[in-house]
Amino acid sequence: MIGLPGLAGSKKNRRDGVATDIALRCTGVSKSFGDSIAVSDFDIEVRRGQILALVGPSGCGKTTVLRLIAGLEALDSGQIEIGGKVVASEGRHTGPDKRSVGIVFQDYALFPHMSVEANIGYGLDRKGRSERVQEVLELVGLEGLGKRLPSELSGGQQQRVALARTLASRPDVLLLDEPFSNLDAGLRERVRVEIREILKTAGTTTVFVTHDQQEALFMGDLVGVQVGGRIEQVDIPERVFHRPATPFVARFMGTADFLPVEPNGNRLVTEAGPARAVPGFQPPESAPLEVMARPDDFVIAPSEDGQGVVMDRVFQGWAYTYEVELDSGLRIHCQMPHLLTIEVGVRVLVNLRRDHPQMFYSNGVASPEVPRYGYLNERQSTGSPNQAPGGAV
Amino acid sequence: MTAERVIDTRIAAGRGASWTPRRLLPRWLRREPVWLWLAGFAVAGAAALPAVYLAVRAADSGDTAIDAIFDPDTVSMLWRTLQLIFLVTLGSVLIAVPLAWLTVRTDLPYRRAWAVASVLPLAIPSYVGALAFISAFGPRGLLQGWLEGPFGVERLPNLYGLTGAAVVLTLLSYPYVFLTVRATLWRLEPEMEEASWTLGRSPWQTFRRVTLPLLYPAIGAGALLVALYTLSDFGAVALLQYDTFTRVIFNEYNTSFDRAGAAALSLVLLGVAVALIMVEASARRRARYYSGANAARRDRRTVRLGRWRWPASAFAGVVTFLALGVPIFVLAYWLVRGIGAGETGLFDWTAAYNSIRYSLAAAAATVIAAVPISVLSVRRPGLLSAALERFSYVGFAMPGIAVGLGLVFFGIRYATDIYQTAYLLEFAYVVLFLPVAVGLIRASLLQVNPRMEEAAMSLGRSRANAFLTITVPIIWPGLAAAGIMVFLLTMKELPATLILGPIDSSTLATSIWTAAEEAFFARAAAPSLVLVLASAAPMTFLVLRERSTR
Repeated sequence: MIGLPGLAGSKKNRRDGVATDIALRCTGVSKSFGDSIAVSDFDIEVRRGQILALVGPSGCGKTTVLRLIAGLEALDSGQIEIGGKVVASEGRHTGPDKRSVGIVFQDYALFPHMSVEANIGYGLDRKGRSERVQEVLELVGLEGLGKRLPSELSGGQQQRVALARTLASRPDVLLLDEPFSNLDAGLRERVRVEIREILKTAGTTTVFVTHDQQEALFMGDLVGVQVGGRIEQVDIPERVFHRPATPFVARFMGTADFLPVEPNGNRLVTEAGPARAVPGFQPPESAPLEVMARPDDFVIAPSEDGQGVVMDRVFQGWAYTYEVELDSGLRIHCQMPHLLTIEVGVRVLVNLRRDHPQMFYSNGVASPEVPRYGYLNERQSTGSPNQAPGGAV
Repeated sequence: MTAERVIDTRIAAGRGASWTPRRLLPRWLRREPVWLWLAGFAVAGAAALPAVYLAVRAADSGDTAIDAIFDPDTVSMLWRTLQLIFLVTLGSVLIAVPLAWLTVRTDLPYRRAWAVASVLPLAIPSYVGALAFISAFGPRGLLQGWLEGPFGVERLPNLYGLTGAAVVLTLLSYPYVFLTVRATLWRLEPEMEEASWTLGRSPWQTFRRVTLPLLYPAIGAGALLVALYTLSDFGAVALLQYDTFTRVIFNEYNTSFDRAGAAALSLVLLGVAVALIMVEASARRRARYYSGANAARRDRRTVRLGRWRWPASAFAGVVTFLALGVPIFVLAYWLVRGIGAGETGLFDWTAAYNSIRYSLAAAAATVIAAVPISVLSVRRPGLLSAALERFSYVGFAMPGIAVGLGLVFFGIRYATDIYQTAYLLEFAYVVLFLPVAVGLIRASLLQVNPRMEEAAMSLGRSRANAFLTITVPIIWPGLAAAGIMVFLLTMKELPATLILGPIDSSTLATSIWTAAEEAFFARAAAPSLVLVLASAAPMTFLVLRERSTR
């Protein structure tokens, strides 16, 4: 397991009595249902006002994490702190009604027998209720619809009511479970822009669960990639995309091909030409090394002397994605502008772009190693910005 | 392939053959074989017949009928009936809602067994329940007998009249509410309650403000069934001597032969039933919000009862003891005593044979009659098929005694050949139990994707052939369930059987009734036990199956 200097460090801070701006912290949280392990050794730390997008394949325990944080499930081991207070640890469980956590369910779970206003005011005390309801209605842009029943609203509006109902009582942490999965594609993009704005305006700490990488990249201040019940990597979206800690993260965040690398002096030779690394990169001694390349990291050109053959071509409007089989039998994906059309079966010369450094992997982890909790290091040790290949950070 | 079949297939495949002579027919007739619509009309008309003839008979007698309706006696009878309905419905809700919640949501010990036990009272015909209560708690009953020796108790609180009728009917009909509430509790999305908890509300506040309001439609639907059951009940009120509509109508018809009066009162009775249905329907329209949620995707949180499981178990135990234990114990007691005393004629095999014969015929006829209307209402939703379906529900609103009387009038006037034969009786059963069969068959038809039949037709099968080879095998369980339900209901049916049954041909129900009227408990015991056990078996099965389908 990779060390978590950030987690350990901030815990120490708190013991020293220094005020913490950590809204949510999970440490070693585990939960099984019968024989199946849903969450194991799960660690996360979210600062006030941050949006964490948890993304992972279905069945990776994302929703269970939310339910554990909300208090709808009791954890087996580990600890959950909200706003500096321990709400769950082994043998200790604060009920969902006693935690300051709001959850927006996948299908909203609006109370069908109550008006929009009554739904939003449901968790509020009588005093100041109507003012707060109006305030929140305004925040989510539903002024004037307060008297309607949920069944009289569109899907997007219901979604905003669900959000408003949760925001109304100003929870320390807001949880969103696949909030856009019930909306159709066109609406989804618009709604997620709106929701992000609302969350940022409200300044609410949010944990957001999705299986859609694009959504995670867009919504999250932090993106956590979860697999097999634990966090594989969590960092700012750009770094998760460009500096995946493991090949799994690389593949999950988008198409990725891996080419074996042959170090030759200070040159890193691959079947698609030399690869570029960050300055000072030391390839590991006597371990297989691979370079990760996204479709836009390749350039192809028709050539009789090429080392690959186009096997398939997918038209995407603004570009073509070619699938090319290299002479070694390895298949790579390459995105090229639509200006050039190469027919299937044509021999091509394949080269890695050399305008930015690539990521390298050895034995299932990045080389040099990428911290799984990169954002914590950054905050702890000021001054040493991460070297980010791709320069996208 | 005949030309006709080609056209059929094309229409079915949505390609639309435009030159067919069928174009001359109105669109709705073109789309479905005419015979299906004709069958639907015939069945709906038959179902409406008893009600129509009651009205005709009442109208014929003119002033007599009007006098009967506005008679002060009628008003006080209406008041008595409504009182009974109110008490039974209220009692059922108060018993059933906590029981349903306990057996679905809590860790009540043996909750599955309690769930089965809480449904089984439906297997007890009201006249059997009343009989058992009279025998157990009535004057000179078993309880008084036991108390007299050691304690010198010579009188128990009076069982007859409103109290007894309300208690007996409540204990026998609360399962209707129990079943509807239970089904909704299973379906209720756990997220509703979870949302309420995360918004800071305690479990009790959540129950009161979220769960209970979401149960109102189910409670309403169950309460309607209880109210209609109470309104149409004849056996229990007659034995417990509480003068409601059914008892008075029967007496007027049977003893004073005042047919116009009986017809008029039956119409009032029908009116009350329709009013009850409308009250529930309008309440439901206001509460339409409950949008058929999916079955819960994961097991919901179970409420831990802790120390409360003792009073909870006691509650379930007392209800089960009274509703199930007392009748079975009393019946068994009398049977054993009768056998011990060497009495003969404890079980009338001819009556049992008649019961089974009539019930089998009723089950087959009702299922066959229910198919066209079910198919039309599912596959051709529209005003006309909705109207047909509505008509088939007449039996739901019409007490057995009213159906019986309506058919008596019809038989005497137009069908003397079948009057007082089993045919007219079967007709009454079909009218009475058609709604049950339509409901069950509709539900199973709704699960058949019509595209499957269309696929069969595109492969060259005729519409009828596709229905028989594709749809029928799939809805078979629904048809079987409908048949079984009608069979059981027919076995227990009393008032229509009394009025319409062929002379000198008794059934289990009528022989129990005769024995009960004469307080000949030993002779009522064996047929009652047979009826109860025969109905209990499939009900147990239905409740247990609930788990696998939830």
